Amino acid sequence: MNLDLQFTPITLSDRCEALRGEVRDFLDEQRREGVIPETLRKVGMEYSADFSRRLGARGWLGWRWPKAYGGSEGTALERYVITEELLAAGAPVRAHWVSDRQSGPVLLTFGTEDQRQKYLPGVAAGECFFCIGLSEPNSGSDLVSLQTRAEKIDGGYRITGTKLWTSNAHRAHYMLALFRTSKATADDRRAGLSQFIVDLDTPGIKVRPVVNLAGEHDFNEVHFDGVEIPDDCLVGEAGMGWRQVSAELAYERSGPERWLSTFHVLARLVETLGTDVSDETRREIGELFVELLTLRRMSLSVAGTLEAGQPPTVQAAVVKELGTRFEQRIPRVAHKLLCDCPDFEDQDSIARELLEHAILWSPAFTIRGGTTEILRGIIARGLGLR
Amino acid sequence: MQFSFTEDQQMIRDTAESLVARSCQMTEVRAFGDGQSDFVDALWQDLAKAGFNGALVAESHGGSGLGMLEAGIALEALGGALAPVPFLSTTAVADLIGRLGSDEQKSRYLSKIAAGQISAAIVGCPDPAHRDENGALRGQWAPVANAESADLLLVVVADTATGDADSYSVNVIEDIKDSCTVETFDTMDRTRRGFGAITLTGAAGVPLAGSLDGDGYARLGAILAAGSAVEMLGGAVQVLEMAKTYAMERVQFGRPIGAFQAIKHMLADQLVALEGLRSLVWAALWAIDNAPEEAPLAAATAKAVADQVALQLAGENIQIHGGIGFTADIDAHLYVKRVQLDRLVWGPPGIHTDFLEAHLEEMA
Ligand SMILES: Cc1cc2nc3c(=O)[nH]c(=O)nc-3n(C[C@H](O)[C@H](O)[C@H](O)COP(=O)(O)OP(=O)(O)OC[C@H]3O[C@@H](n4cnc5c(N)ncnc54)[C@H](O)[C@@H]3O)c2cc1C
Repeated sequence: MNLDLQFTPITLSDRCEALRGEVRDFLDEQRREGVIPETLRKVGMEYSADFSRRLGARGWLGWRWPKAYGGSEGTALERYVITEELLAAGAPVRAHWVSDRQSGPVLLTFGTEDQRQKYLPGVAAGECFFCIGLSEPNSGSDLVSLQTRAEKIDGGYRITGTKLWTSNAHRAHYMLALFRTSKATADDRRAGLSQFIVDLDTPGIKVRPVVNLAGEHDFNEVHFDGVEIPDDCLVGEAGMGWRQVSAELAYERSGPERWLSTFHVLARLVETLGTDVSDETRREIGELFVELLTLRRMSLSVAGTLEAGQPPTVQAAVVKELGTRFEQRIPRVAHKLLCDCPDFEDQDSIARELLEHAILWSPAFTIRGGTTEILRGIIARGLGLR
Repeated sequence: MQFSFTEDQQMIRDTAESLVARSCQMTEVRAFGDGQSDFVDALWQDLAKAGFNGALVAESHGGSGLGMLEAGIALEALGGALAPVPFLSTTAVADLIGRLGSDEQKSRYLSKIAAGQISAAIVGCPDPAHRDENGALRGQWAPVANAESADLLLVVVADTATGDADSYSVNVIEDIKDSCTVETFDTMDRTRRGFGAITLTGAAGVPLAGSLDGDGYARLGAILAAGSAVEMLGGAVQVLEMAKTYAMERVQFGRPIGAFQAIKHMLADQLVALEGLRSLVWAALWAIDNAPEEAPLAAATAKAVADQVALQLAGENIQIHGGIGFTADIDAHLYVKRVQLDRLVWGPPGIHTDFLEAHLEEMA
């Protein structure tokens, strides 16, 4: 089989497990201080700049980056352990999540020395937050067709166009964006795209909220009406944005957040149901746990691939395809089992609130970060089908 | 068995569809969800004028003397338009009063129901109320449709006194707020309001003259299950239409997304599921009117399948819409949220599959 499709088994080192203990102790402390709620009523990651700063102070952001840029020079597997523990605890990690996961690594790989020095220490300290400016009204799955233009002007670029579904644009400092700097060529429609860092305080940028299905303001529409940004905002090589973004997307899809979004619902379900349950219920829960453990093994080997310095494109797509459908199924199963559970309506209002929030959010899992259909296309290409 | 609509039924259907298109526009439904519209009374009146509220009321009481199939035709249109009216509970109540009420009780309620002057709620099917050792009525239900605004509440009570497991009385409560605790709550479904928990606090109301035997109880269960299923079918039909239309309009990679086989197959699977549901639903509604002994099984089957298919289609509609499907800007989310409630209101999904399981065991 194609080498790219291997899921190499990974055993976590003692160092990793020791780190896990440290993260857990820290999280317990945060819980005692009320920074992380004792009982979770929502799925997904809450936004807390304060908590991100605390993580930064512990050195757990920018974990793999050189110390010179505020990093800890740790391994991908150690980073895996940190993220897994944070997610399992329901910690409010949203503010820094994408900066630490993808924007930082892109700058580290493709940025200039000045850019690294300017942005990475802030990201690693949990003080500088990015959002991702890829999707547009007419370009989602077909990202390459994006139309927002960055025209070369004297000393910089002029940006005109609209980004859509930009999570956290209303509270991030910067957008790592993909714009068109020149026309696609006849033989390569991927040519002519470039990545930029956009300071969201730049005049001319309008961030309009888009209320989501759960009634929350989480993503946005971002208008650029002739916004001028300086030359040193260009990341990497002009026109080579597509290659850089492909690497970024592999990071975006690689982590345990792609199968842990509704883990709390499962945990709460087990707690609420108690020990006195039918065989059928046991089987349903058992099946979910089998999948959880399988996904965890697969996700670990994605981290192993990252550690080996290879792009985990296809493996990450496999894990996200499986993982998001898994996290989407949990609330459905929980709903069914809890409906059959006598007195559920009166007793456990927290479980009900959490379940309702999970039901509302679950359609997003198989859309954000690349739809299930697009991931299947990537997996098929990984198999050699064109 | 006759599985196509008669000419009359087709006419009724055209009437229902054009009425709903006129009097229950999506802009109104959305505004209603935000608390900014009160078109519901007008819609209720229009339905009454067209004879739908009295579908199961005899002509002698001002009704149109039709059947559950015709009521189902209205329900399909109402479900498709996400109408916020308590049509199903009111229809089921009219049927019970017509069957069990004394002449006086019939005159007191039926013409008002048919004329759209009152609406009703019903509890106790499933889960009949019971009497405690002091003879006081006890029972608790949630969520109850129309709990907040019903003028009339019917309570199905298990008659343990007769020693017959299959005997029920039906009590009418007019002064709902004084006789029970009604706790209304918001649900995720913003297309309907006034769901609530109803707890009997001992008040009995007035029993309908006749009592309900096992067959009558089964008929009531079938009306509620099949009625809810046909409403869900209406929603699913709209959702498939919405998904198909978007798949033909939305262009990615230089083609409408409907040109990709992944989307084509999703839509084809949806159509297959929907047609299966449609057959089950109309068979159940037909059986209620024409083959009562088949109705409970047919209705439970229809509802069990509706619970799955409607959820599947509403969810996949969001998937096909991509990012915009996850917003409140288009109507896809309204259908998903409504389905979640539809699955619970007339008994949790489990009761229908449990019924089918019990039936299979009997057959074995
Ligand atoms: C909660 C949430 C947060 C998001 N946050 C961000 C963000 O921060 N930054 C950002 O840039 N974007 C963000 N997105 C956008 C997301 O990446 C896009 O929604 C996604 O890529 C799909 O694009 P689209 O919405 O335009 O749907 P479309 O691409 O129009 O897709 C519509 C449907 O067609 C299908 N389809 C499209 N092409 C094909 C094909 N070739 N074969 C088969 N099926 C196909 C899709 O799978 C989907 O079902 C977010 C989305 C969500 C839901």
